[in-house]
Amino acid sequence: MRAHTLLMAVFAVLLAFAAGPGLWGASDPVTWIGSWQKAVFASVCHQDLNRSIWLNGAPMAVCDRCFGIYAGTAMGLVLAYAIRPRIRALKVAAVWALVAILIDVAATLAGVWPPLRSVRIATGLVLGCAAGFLLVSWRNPPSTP
Amino acid sequence: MEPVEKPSYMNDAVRYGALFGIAASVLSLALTYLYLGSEPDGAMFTPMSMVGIVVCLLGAMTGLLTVRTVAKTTGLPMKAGQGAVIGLVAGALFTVFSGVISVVWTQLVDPSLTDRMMEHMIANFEAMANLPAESKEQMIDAVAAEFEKQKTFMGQLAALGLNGLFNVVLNVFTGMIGVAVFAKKEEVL
Repeated sequence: MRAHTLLMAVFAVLLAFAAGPGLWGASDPVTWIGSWQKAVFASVCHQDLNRSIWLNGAPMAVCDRCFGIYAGTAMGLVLAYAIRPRIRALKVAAVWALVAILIDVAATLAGVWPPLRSVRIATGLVLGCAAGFLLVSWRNPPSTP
Repeated sequence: MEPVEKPSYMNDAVRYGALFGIAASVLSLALTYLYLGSEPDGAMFTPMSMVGIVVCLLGAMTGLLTVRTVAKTTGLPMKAGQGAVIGLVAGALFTVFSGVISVVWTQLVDPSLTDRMMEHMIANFEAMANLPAESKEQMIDAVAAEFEKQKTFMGQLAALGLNGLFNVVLNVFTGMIGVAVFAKKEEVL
């Protein structure tokens, strides 16, 4: 239980960092360029301004899909207090979310459709939510032979 | 009574850390040179944008696949904490391998790379049609200041430390997920 709460606290902090400098008082994209929040996530996200949610006049430190993943994981961790889905169902959800992300990325790069914020956030949320449940799956009852 | 030998995960962590660290560095450098070879057209999404995605994917895979290999090799049930430790070690090794390659490349092999990247990025900003002139100037100045910071050895070390720390944290999580997905579950008799 304590480890679960610790994980939730870690993800709450990550989410606050990912929200970018707009949450911390900045109100323009110029501040964003030199912000520590941008630097923290620079190696794991493309941080494209056109594919990011803007908060208080500044873009977030991660793109909208990555923010969906972090938010989804936090959501999964919260829901895991009440619901304990089967691990197999979580694996299937994670794989399907990954497939959906790959299709969306490929279609966007090929110009089939433009980057759609709702799709990017939704796919990130599903993947993150499955990851959140899997992170605390030791709380699920052990299987019986 | 014979002592029970604890299976070591170090070899697998080194193998995957090296493999994915080198792969991430090679792909990042290839995308960077691809970006430098292109005409600045003012687009926000460039080959450079893909670097973050590649590093994130390969970085996250390091912990996950190391745990998978350890779980398959030993065939023993694993705890989430063990996955976290294995992920931490694999993530740290990934960071070391990719970091060393990055520093060696930008300091010794191609020292002008950072300058060329900065010039290309500024040219790309200048080609952006939808930005007001004043904000464009401010953003260009901010980008130039950031590159100046990263040009020094200490600046690069600080950036690597920050990114490395994040990669380690990411691998702690993927290691734990690896246990949930790949490790044998303890059975109730």
